[in-house]
Amino acid sequence: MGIYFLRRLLGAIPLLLGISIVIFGLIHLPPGGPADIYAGSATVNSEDLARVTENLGLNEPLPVQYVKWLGGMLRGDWGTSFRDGRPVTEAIFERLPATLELMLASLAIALVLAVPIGIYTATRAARFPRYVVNVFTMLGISVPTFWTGLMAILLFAGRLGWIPTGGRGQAGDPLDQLHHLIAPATVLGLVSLAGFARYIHSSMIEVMQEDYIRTARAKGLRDRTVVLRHGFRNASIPIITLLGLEVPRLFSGALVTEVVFSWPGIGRLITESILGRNYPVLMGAFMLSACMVVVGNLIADLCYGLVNPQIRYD
Amino acid sequence: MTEKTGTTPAEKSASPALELDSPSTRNQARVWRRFRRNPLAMFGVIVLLLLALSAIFAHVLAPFDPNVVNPYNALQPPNAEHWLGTDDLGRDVLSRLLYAGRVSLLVGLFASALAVVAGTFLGAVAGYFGRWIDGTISRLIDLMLSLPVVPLALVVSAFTEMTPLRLTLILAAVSWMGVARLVRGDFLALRNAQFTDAARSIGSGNWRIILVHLLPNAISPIVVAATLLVAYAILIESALSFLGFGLQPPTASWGNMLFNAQRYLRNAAWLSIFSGVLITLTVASINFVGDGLREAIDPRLKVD
Repeated sequence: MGIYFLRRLLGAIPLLLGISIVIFGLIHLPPGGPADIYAGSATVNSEDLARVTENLGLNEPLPVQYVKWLGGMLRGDWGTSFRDGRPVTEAIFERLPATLELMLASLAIALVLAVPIGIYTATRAARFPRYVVNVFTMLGISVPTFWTGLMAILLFAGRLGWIPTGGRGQAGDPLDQLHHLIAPATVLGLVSLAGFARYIHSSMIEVMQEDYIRTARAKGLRDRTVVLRHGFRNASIPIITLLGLEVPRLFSGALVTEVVFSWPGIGRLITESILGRNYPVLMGAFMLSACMVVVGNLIADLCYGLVNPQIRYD
Repeated sequence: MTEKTGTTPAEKSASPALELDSPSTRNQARVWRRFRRNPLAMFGVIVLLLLALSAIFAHVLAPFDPNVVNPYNALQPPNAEHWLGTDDLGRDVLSRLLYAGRVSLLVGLFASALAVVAGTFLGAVAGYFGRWIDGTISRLIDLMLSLPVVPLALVVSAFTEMTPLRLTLILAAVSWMGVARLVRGDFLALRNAQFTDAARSIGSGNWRIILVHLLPNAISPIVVAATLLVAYAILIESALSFLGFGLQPPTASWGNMLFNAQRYLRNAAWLSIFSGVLITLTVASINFVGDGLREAIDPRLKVD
């Protein structure tokens, strides 16, 4: 187990290196690179331009810039934001809590609702036809997050006035913040909710046909015990992997949700930085999200091993 | 296409393969019978047919020119003349939705076709040849799956001038990995199958084995994944366009119509309702069809 973990950890290093090359390349290769932003500005003359290029190290060959950037990243110096000259780490980490809060809240909403829905619809107690579940979960997967967000604002903020239209609420006022969090978290969690419910539903149906379920019933256990203790426990193991896979999707979804609800997180920072051609911030934000995905998958793999005794590491 | 690759070996080689042909057509008939009995899948097929027809005949059906600007007529709520109202520049929403359907559907279709071809090729090569080729391609898949692809697609879209072709390429570039993984797994199992050895023993080359013998055996999950990919591509396209980094006006797509609409959410809700309904309807229908196909082919088939 320890050796397996170490190997996975070491395997993540070349992966992250590859990711850093792709991110750096994608941002620097297209025309209109960092120096061109200053060149396009009316207030910058050619002397200033030369000095800025020099200061930012933009006249060096790309591989050199890459190595310098990577070295800086490792030492905790992620560069300075083109917009206000602040360190990139500062710009990113002040936005990170908002995004994490949004992602975790939506994941919690999705799980708390999906587990009972998935279990209930897979049991004999469910009276309605199977395709009702199918229709609703499929619609949940198919609806674009930004549109659900717009509709939620239109209905609940506009018509009914139940929720604020955006923002994160007063700092230091937990109730107000919760009030602001509910709508974006629910909107973002909807797609995960539908996906999880579908997954748990089919996983439960599969498990409930196993021999040990029949054995449990034959022992005369209560229906509830059979379903929860013998059924769901076994059906829930793949959910852990599912959670790990959900991280990148959730991050992309958070970006859109943040724009719709004016949520001051990384997603909004990314769209602002794209519009402002703020390359150092973009690279930092992308590297951070890639790290989150890699670490998320690693944790999911480890938990999977802990929960499932059938998995052996050797 | 499927049928063609299925029958070629039968024509080329002797009688035993000919017998293989009839169970395969019988199998196709069974899949179709099961598919037809799935009400949701059939609903999806009908909706998609209607949407496709309305996109093809947009120039006939549209009551107005989708790009004619008329400021005196801006932000009209739905009425007898403009059934779905007009937008902030006075353009007819219904007409724009019809033309936008062309763009959104075509971009989704082509992007997924491209992603399926690329994913199938890479997955097949990785699974069949194994060793360092597999190692390289598998690392590439891992890498692409760890990247924040939608935000990166945003960056690339924002920094280049967006055309439908480029958008298609970007969408394909971020969505081929699922298919590649799927095909790789199938090919890993198939390359050691007895019929592969048999084909090799009569001197078939690697590419012939891959295309003629292995691919037809892996085709069912690819078909299902291809269907679901169209839905995925349409969703991502709409998200990019909604954020203002996809196709640029005056070209209408369902996503970029929403980009403008959000500014008028309060006083012109019809602008944001209809295109969202169409995106959801399209994507859901495609998903119903894909799911129906999956269940008709093999209920235990797992496609991501």
